[in-house]
Amino acid sequence: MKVYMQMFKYNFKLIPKISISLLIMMVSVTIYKLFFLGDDIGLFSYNNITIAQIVFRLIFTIFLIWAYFRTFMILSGPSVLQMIPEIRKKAIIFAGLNLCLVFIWAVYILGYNDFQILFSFIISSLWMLSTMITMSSFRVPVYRLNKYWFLKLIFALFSFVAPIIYIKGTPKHPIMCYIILSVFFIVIIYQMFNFVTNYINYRLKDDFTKKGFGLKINSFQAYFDDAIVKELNSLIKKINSNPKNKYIKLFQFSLFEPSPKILGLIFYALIVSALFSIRDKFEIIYFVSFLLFFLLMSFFNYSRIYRKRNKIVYLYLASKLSRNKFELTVLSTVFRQVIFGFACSVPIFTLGLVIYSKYFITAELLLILYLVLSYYIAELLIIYILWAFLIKNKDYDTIKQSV
Amino acid sequence: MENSDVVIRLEKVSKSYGDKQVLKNIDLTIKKGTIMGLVGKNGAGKTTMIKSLLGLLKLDSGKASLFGEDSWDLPGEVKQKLGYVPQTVNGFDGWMTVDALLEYTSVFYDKWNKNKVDKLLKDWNIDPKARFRSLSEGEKQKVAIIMAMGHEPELYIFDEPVASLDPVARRSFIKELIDLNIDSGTTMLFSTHITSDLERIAADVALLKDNEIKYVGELSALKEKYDQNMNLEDIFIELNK
Amino acid sequence: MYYITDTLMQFAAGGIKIGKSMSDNKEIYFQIQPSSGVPIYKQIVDQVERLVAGGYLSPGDELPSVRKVAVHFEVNPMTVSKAYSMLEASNIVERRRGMGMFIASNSDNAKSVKQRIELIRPSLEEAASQAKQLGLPNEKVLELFKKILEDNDGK
Repeated sequence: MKVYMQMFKYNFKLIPKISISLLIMMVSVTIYKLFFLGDDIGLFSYNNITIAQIVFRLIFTIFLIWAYFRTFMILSGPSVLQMIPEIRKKAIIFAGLNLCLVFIWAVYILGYNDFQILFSFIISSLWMLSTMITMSSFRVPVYRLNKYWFLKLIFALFSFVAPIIYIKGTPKHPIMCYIILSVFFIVIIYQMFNFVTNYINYRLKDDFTKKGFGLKINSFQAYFDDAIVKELNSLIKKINSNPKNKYIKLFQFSLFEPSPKILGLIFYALIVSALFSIRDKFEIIYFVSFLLFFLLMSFFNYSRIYRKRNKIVYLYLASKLSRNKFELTVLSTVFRQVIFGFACSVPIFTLGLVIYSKYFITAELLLILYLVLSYYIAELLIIYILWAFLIKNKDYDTIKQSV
Repeated sequence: MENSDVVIRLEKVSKSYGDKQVLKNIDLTIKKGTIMGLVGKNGAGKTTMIKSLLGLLKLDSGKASLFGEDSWDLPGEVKQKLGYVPQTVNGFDGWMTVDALLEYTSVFYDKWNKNKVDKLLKDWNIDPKARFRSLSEGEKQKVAIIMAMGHEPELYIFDEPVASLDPVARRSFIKELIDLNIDSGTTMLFSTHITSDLERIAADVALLKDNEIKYVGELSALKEKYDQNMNLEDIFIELNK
Repeated sequence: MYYITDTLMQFAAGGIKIGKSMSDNKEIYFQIQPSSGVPIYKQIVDQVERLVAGGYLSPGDELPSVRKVAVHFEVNPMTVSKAYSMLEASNIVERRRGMGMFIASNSDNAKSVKQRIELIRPSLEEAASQAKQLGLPNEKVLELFKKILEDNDGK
C-alpha cells in the first residue's frame, strides 16, 4: 500500500500545476453535489437545469478526460520501457486503482437513480479507455504480431461507432443494438485484458525481434516521420513548380504540424456526441457550453501557435517579406487554417443535422446553424485578437516559447 | 552620409530589460569585408546587440541598421543577404531529416548553392538522411551553419556558433569562413568567447564591458597596446577586472 | 645532408613553402601563432625581415600570396595583407603588378626604385626635348635608350 501512496505523491509532484487544478476540479464538483444537489439529483439528470449545473458538468467531464489521459500518459511514458515486470505490474495496479477510485467517485456524482445515465457513462468510459489504450499502444511496444494490428483496427472502429449506436438505436432495433453492444463490451474487455498482460510481460528482446504487418515501435515512429517528410517534399515540389503563395504554404506547414488524423476523428466524434446528447430535450444551453468549451480550447491552441517563438523567428528571418507583410502572412495562414477546418466540418454537421432533422423543427435547426456559424466567427475573432497582441509589431525574441 | 560601404551600423544604441540596462550608448560601424569579433562576458549584451541588429528586439533609443536599412523593418531583399546562426538550434522539428531541412530552407531563398551545401555535409561528416532529433549538439550546430551558408549571404552574423563544436570542427569551420571571406568578401560579425578562434579569423574586435563598448578596432592594435606576452584571452581578462 | 635536415625541421614546424627563388633552390619557411601576444601582421613582418637579413630570402624571391598564407594558417587575409603592405612601405618587398610580392632588388638600400628613378627624370626630360627638336620618332629613341642600357649591363 505504501508503494502506491509513494507513486501517487510522485505523480502528483511531477506536474504540480495540473495536479492541483485537477484536485480543485474534483473537490468543487464534490462540494456541489453534496450541498447543492443532495442525494436525489445526479449531475446529469434532466430536471430543471441551472447554469451552475452545466458548468459543473463541464468540469466533471474535463476532469474525467484528464484523469484517464494522465493515467495513460503515465503508463506509456518512455521511462516505463526500462521497468522490470514486477514494477510494471505495480504500475498497472496503480493505474487500475486510480481509475477505479475515479469511477466510484463518478458514480456517486452521477447519482444511483438514473440507470440510463449510468449506462451512458459506462459506455463512454469504456470508449475512453479503449481509445486511450489504442493511442498509447502506438508508443508502448505491446502489440507486435499481425493479429494485434487487426484487432486494433476493430477496437478503433468500435470505439467510435458503438456509443453512437447505443444512444441512437435502442427503441427501433433492440436485438441488433444489444448484439452490437455485447460485442463492444467483449472486445473492450478483451483489449484491456490483452493490454494488461502484454504490458506486464513485455520483454525488450522479444519485442524487437518479432516483425509484423504492424511495424515495430521505432519503425512505426519512423513510418510516421517518413510520412511527414514525404509531405514536406511534395510541398517543396509544389512550391518549386508554382511559387505563387509560397509563403502561406510554407508558414502553414511550419506552424501547424501535421498531426495524426485520429485526433481529428476524436474531435468530430465529440462534436457529434454533443449533438446527439441534446436529442431528448433541446438543451440549447448544453450545446452552447460545449461550443464555449471548444472556443476555449481554440484560444489555447492558437496562442500556442503564435508563441512558437523559434519557428516565428526563423520564418521572419528567412522569408523575403518585410515585417508588415510577414505579420499579415502569419495572420492569413492561421485564418486559412480555420476556414479549411470549417470547410471540413461542414459535411459532419450536415450529416448530424440531416439525421436529427426529425427531432427538431426548422427554427431550432436554424438556431443550431447560427450557433455553429457564430462559433467560427468567434474563432476568427480570437485569432485576430491574439495576433494583434502576440505578433503585431512585437519583439519576436520576447515571445515566451510555448511547448 | 550613408556609406554604401557600411554593412552594420549601431548609433547610440541603448536597451534595458526592465530596470536592468544591457546596452548603453553603443556605437559601432562595420564595413564590407570586415570580420569583426564580438567579445564580452556572458550577459555583457552580445546576444542583445545581435538580436537588435536582426530586428528581433526593439531598441530603447538609438538606431541599428543593416546595409543602410533600419533593423526593425528590414526589407525582404536585405534579409536574403543575411546569414544568421543563433546560439542554440531549437526551432526545427526533430522528425525532419537533414536533407529535408536543407531543402526546406532552400525554398525560402532566391539563390541556393546546392553543391556547396553537399560538399559541406560531406566534409563535416553529416548523414543527410539522419533525423534532426538524432543528431548530437555539435552536429546540430553544424547543420545550422550550413543552413546559413547555402544562400551565399553577404553578411554573416554568428552568435557563439562554435560553442558545441569540437576543436577539429571549429578549425574546419574557421577555415571555411576564411575561404568565404577571401572569395566573396563577405562581412562577418562573430560573437564568441573562444578567443583563440577570434585571433585567427578576426581582424577587428569589439569588446563589450559594463554595457558599453570598451574597445573597437583592429585586433593587432589592441595587442600592441598590451605587453607582448599577453594574448587576447589575457587582455580580455585584464580588461574585465 | 645539412640542407635536408634543415628542410625537415622547418617542415615539422608547420611553416609554409615559399616559391623557388630565381637564383637557387632554397625552400624557405615562416610561422604564425595566432594566440600570441604579438599581432599576426607583426609576426609576418618581423620574420620576413629576419629571413632577408639572414640571407634566406634574396632579392627577387617571391612571397606566397595573401590568399595562400591566409588559407594555410587559417587566419584573416586582411592581417596578411597588412603585413605585406608594411613590408612594401619599408622597401623590403615590392609589388609587381599581376605577379605578386617579391623581395626588393636593393632591399638594403633605403631608397626605393620609385625614389631613384626620379633622379634620372631630369636627364630623360632633357633627352626627350632634344629628340623632339630633332624631329625623331619615339620608338627610335626608346630603341636607342634600350640598347644603351643593355650595353651598360654588360659592363
